[in-house]
Amino acid sequence: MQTTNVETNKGNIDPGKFAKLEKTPKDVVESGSKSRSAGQEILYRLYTNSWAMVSLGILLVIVFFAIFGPSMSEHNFYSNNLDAQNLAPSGDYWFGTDSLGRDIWSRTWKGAQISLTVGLVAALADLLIGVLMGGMMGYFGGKVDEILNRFSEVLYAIPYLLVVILVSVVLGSNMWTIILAMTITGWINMSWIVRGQIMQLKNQEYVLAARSMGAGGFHIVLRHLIPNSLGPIIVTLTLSVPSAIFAEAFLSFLGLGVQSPAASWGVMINDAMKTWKYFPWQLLFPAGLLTITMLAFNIFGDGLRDAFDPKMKV
Amino acid sequence: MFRYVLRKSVNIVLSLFVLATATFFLMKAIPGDPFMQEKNVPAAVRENLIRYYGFDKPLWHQYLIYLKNLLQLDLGMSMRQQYQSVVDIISRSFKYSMQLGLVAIVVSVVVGIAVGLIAALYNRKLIDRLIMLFATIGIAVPNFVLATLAQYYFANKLRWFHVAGLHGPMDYVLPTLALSVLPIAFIARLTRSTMIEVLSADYIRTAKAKGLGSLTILIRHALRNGLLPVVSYVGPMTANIITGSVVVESIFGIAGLGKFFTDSVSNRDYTLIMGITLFYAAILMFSRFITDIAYALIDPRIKISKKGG
Repeated sequence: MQTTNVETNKGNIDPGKFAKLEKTPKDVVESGSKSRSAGQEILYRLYTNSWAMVSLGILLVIVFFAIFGPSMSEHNFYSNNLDAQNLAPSGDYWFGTDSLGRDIWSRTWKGAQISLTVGLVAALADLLIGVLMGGMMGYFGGKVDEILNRFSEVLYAIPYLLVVILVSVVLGSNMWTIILAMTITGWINMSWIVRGQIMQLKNQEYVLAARSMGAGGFHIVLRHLIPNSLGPIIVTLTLSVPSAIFAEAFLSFLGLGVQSPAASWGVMINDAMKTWKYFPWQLLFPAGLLTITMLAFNIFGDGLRDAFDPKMKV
Repeated sequence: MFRYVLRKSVNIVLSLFVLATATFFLMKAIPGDPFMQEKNVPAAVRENLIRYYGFDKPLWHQYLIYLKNLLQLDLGMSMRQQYQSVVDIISRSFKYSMQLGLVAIVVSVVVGIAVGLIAALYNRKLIDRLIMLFATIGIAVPNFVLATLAQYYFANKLRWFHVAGLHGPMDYVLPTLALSVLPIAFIARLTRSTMIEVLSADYIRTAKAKGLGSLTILIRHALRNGLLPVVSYVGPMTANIITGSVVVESIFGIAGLGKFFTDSVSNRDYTLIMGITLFYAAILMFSRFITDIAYALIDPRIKISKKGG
């Protein structure tokens, strides 16, 4: 079109065609697709991952019931009722009762509180110590890295669950000693991830640029290194929640979990184990919820990893 | 290579020493002594027990005795199983755990790789999605739940297997299933993701262009690189199978080390807890050590003389 136009109008160009047009913001926006920041891009990828969103939804529902569930039922989670032992689920006892006549609905959601708290607090403690240690290893390098890395290697060689078992045997079992026991070796994985990220990032040009503009070490770590290694940190955090929840259930299964009348999913599974062939619902609700929660955290963590790094898609 | 092996060996010895020291002082930190719960024990007997176990000496002395005994592989006497030393119990029961563990490891590796390979070859097809779904579930289902369900359904209800015990080859099926599902799921995911990457690599296209058969390409070219990450998983897998066996053995009533460990935990049999923990840790560290070296030998890209991250 245009070329023929030019040829036919050779030597006879309309000066009006060269008039300056006003540029409106509207033109700019409509000219191409909307640009998104890196953060929006990540959220968008996460948002379009239906498995991850379903998992997030399930987790939110479980959190909701963990908070409000126990008060929905008129039965509390600790009173024994010998007239109502081993009842099947009914309108009165929604999830049935256990061998002491305690309401399984209330116990399940009370157990959710403990299991989720253990998972989240242990993961956060790992995050705090892991980022601190990993940050120091990666940023300072040299002798500091050598010593801390050796230390973490020695500690890491000791199997996680064995440490947790040993410490809970000694300190007694309540929620906080279990969390403490998990943190002793739990932070190491996080620290290695942070260390690797920071070692890779600290030699990049933009860090050099910040340094040459007079930025201090603390500023560089906080403003440049940590935000840029946030992706792997968040993914590791999400995936360490289910392993903490599992470790708590495992401990309770060995009889080292929180003590009665407090309930956790592991304690309930252990209680139900002896008689569940006759009263399967006693096992079904805590075991099912434990599995679903771990599944949801795992799938959501995978989704997060894909969102942060689509190349890594597994 | 020599420096690398040396460094790793020093690490193992250090870790074991740290763990041994930590267990010793942790056990000492427990209020009272292990004979407190014992009812109807005459004072004289109690005295004798305490003297026998050396609990009347100062702490540092007890620690030195403990270390000396440890170097001679003497882990002391069990406090609850009468007249049995910890080393005896371990050597007697470990053979069951080892048989079961080895079977579980072989099954995990073979099935995991096969399933992961199928998923990679049928990438994004229905069969791949199904395999990945099962793999995700397999990672999330707690092994003790799986073991109980399998025991109930296959042994109690269908009566295909014995409920408990380890007397014939069929008795291995359910415990192996309970132990292997997690490692299988892990290895399948690992194999699938690396194989997908490897299968789209240039050298595979070159091999295809040369006219090699697809089976030759798969086995000779792709699997070599695709299985590298699986080798690095052997260490963690051993850890999973060992900790898994702790519950699986008590559920299936197998008189292996795991069952003694759970019993010792619930009986508060401190010397046995300490001994088995150290033993488990030693096996694990050894298997990690072998894995590290094997990995370094297989993959020349890893610079073993330099510090690994």
